[in-house]
Amino acid sequence: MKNLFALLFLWLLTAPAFADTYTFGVVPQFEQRKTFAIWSPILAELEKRTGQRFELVTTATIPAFEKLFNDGKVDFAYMNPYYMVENVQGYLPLVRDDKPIVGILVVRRDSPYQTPADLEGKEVAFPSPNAIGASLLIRADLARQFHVNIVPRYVKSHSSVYLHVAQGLTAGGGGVVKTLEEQKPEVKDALRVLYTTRSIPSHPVSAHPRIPKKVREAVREALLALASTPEGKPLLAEVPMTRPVAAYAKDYEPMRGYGMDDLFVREQ
Amino acid sequence: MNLRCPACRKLRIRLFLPLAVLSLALVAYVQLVWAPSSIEYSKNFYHRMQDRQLGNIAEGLIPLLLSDQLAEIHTSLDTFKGENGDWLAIELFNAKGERLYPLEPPRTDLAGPDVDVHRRPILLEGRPLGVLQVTENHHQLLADIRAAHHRLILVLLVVPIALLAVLAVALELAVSRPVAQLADASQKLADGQFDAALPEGNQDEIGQLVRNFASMREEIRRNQADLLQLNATLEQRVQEELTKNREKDMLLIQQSRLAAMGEMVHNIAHQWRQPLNALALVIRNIKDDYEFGELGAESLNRAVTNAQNLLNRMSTTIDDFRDFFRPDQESKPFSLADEVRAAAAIMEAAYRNNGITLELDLHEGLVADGYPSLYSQAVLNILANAKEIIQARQIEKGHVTVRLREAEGWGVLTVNDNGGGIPPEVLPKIFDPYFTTKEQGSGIGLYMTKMIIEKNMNGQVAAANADDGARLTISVPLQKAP
Repeated sequence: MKNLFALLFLWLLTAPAFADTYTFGVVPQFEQRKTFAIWSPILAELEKRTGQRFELVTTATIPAFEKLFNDGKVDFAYMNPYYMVENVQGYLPLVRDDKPIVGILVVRRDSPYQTPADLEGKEVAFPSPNAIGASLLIRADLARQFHVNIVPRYVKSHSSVYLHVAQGLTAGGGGVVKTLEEQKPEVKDALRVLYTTRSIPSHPVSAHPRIPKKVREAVREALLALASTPEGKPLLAEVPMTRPVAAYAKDYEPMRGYGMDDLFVREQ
Repeated sequence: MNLRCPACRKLRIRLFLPLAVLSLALVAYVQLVWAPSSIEYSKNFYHRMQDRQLGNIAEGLIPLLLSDQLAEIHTSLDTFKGENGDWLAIELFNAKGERLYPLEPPRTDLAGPDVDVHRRPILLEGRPLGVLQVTENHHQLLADIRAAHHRLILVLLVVPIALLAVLAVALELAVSRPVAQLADASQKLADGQFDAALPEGNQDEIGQLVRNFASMREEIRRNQADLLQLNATLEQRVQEELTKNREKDMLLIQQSRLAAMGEMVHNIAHQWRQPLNALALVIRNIKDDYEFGELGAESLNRAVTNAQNLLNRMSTTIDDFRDFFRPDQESKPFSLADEVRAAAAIMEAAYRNNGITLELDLHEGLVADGYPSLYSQAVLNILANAKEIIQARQIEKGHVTVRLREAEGWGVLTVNDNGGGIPPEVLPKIFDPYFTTKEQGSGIGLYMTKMIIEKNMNGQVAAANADDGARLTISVPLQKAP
């Protein structure tokens, strides 16, 4: 009887009495209310499917989130795919959207620019220095592929980039197809895509290596299963993850040779 | 509404015209003065509000301009434009003058009478960041204000009209109709009708007027009845009064006659005093002659002749007096001087016995139409009055001057005495009947003189003080030359 109590006590020490609460960090692509509106239902489903508890965490700015990520202060993270290249904490990708990320370089429809080389020395608008598709990829390709020096102008948002170009304030601007499609017709009709970048895998949901593999795999399977349900598909489409697939670290290896390192701006 | 009542129409005009004029003046003031200034004030207020709003928007755009958040700028300005329906266009330019908003330039045909452009420079610590420009159309605002003004003017017109209508009805019921009825009753009263209907008397001023009118009408009716009755007996009373007056006149004449007769007797006494004294002396002389044995046929004849002469003189005096006072039968031409002398002859003895000199200064040939005996009687009254005054005041050397002259077709007789004059308070009354200053005077002598001269001969009498006595004047029209 004594041994039984000892074993039970030992088990209680080693085994979790209740489910752990894992922090789930989401990069602040949108303003916080929208981030919570998108991810709260998804996390609720994860809790149901995995039996774990998740706490949604985000920050006001991307640099602040980058610090959380680099410090390993979140257990799970939905992050800019570039961080899979640096990845000082060794976060392990679990799920990503099947659709790759490409960046587009837009100019005014009536502008004389026909190739990226025509933008030599011109001012080009980008949302922010580290926006993976709308800024890093394009700047990397302009520098590495076309050897074009441009003057970047960071204008905070994709919509602002398109307006700068449409208004003629900058010669060109960097964006992504999705955000371009979301613009008003008069803005879209004023622009044309001059160049489309090389592609990279989409934003992953990744887990810190300290998270038990069982839990990691449970989350992966839960997300993939959720994507196949009628109620789950629209939830994930808001991320946006229209067709989630399993993600692995090797998916992000080709990015290392794109030359984005020098262009990435690290906040102090 | 009683339009046949002229007074009522005037009353309405006096009441309503000022109200109508005041109302029109108020409307004109509102339309021409207040409304334009109100609109101007509203425009100025609106512009101030617009400037304030632009200032707030400009402040909000500063961080967006600094961080190149053009999408946020577009979103914000789209929202503002949507919220301000009177904003025709918003434009934002950067410091270089490049348009940041909108994507396409606005239309250029936005100008209009109620369209204004507001420009607000955007500055940060004195550094220009851009210019915010709004083209706004405040036509609707002004249209709303003008509509409110029109409603106000309508009220200012309608309310007085309604008020005037109410007043007109009230005036008609409370004033015009009762006044018209009163006017009709007044007109019928003037025509002698006392039964015209009167309005109902309320407890107001009109009611009081009606009651007073009714009282007055009743009083007039009673007075008229009395007057009619009086009028019916008037002729009878006039006849009675005429009879009384004739009796009075007769009495006066009788009294005058009696007075004249008394005067006559008095003057006869004066005239006879001397002859009677002389006759007494003759008779005494006869007795003395008999006693002294000197009475003979010669002395007796002489005495008888003297006595006879004296008696003849006395008889002549009777004839003179009798003829003097015989009434004239008809009006006829007569010599004024003759009649004056006749009157003087009557008074001569009385004057002499009282030591009063009588001087006659008469122009001859002055002929008048009338009753000579009445004229001479009138002169006699004046001469008697002058003698009595001199006697009463015991004037030592009494003197009366009688002067007869012609003056512009009139025979003017003046009798001056030195009796000391007539007191001023007595002078206006001396020709009044029964007025006398003498203890036993009748007071009718001078009155009869006035009546005779003025009534019978169309002449004039006058009295005044002159020199040391009175002057009485008798003027009669002279006979006109053929």
